[in-house]
Amino acid sequence: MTWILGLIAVVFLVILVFINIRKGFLKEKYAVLWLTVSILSIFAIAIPQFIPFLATNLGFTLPANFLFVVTVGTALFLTFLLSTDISKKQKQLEKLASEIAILKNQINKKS
Amino acid sequence: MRTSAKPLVVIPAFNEAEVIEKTISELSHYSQYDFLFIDDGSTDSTLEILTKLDAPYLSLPFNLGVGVAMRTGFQFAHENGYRAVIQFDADLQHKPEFIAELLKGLAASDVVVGSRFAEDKTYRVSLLRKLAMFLLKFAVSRHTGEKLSDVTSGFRAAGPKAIALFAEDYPAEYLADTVESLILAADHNLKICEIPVTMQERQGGKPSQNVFRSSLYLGRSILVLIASFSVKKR
Repeated sequence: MTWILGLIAVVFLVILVFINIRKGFLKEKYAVLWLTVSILSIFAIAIPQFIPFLATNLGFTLPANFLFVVTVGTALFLTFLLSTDISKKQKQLEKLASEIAILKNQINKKS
Repeated sequence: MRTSAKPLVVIPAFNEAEVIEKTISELSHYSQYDFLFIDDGSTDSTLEILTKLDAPYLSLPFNLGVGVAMRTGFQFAHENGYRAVIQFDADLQHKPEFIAELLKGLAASDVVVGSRFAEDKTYRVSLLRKLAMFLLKFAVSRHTGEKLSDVTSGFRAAGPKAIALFAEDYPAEYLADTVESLILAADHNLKICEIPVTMQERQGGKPSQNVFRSSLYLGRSILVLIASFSVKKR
């Protein structure tokens, strides 16, 4: 019956994603990403033989090990994606700060 | 775009309330240059002093580091048609009389660095910093093909080509702005040269170096070195 736990988690994730899209807190880009994660999870839940099958064929002794590799890998990938995103935002922020400083100076000169 | 005949001296200032007044009065003797202070989100009274003394300044809304302050200065210079920009320290470490020397160097180069080592043997630094400087020198020299002795000097001048480049893109990372900007300039085929200058004791304010920061500096230098090798030399 543990599959019910998994299903609840996935449903929870999907609802979370949709609520945040509606509120405008989540960009489509990330929504797609999280929905992909939930779809893959549903696959794993719906076909219980799926993960053990993949694990054995990829040479893992235990399916759990395979799951660890996949989840940690995904988490690392997502954090890296966020790091590059934040760096981009930082650069944009710096540019904005410069623009504001220069504009303020122009306004002060006119008044 | 109008062009300005005067060179623009850009002075990034972060919490320099102690010395800024002295700097302003010192620089007021040099009417042949335009000055522009960049208040880098200071939390002390730096901004009030600049306003009170009616010094020309730009004020960043929060602290973003010397790199961003300089980029802002270059953007301002570019938009206002300046042909030469000099980076100058707010705590008067640099001597204003050397500005003219740097400007002379711009006749044949796009970037002129005021070197503390080229002639003056009295400039001393810690061992850790020396190692970092050596690594940086190596990285930059490899890129520029020029023998530079003091790549971390913050006393430098930029010509029109360099201004256009730096207005668009200037390295903002902590303490690496000096080095990476040289690599950036070299990668855009700008000519870099070095001119000997002497420095004086800081006239106040907190020095930005201690052991911890020196180590951090060394760490970043190594990163810059690695990065410079991963970029193909032109």
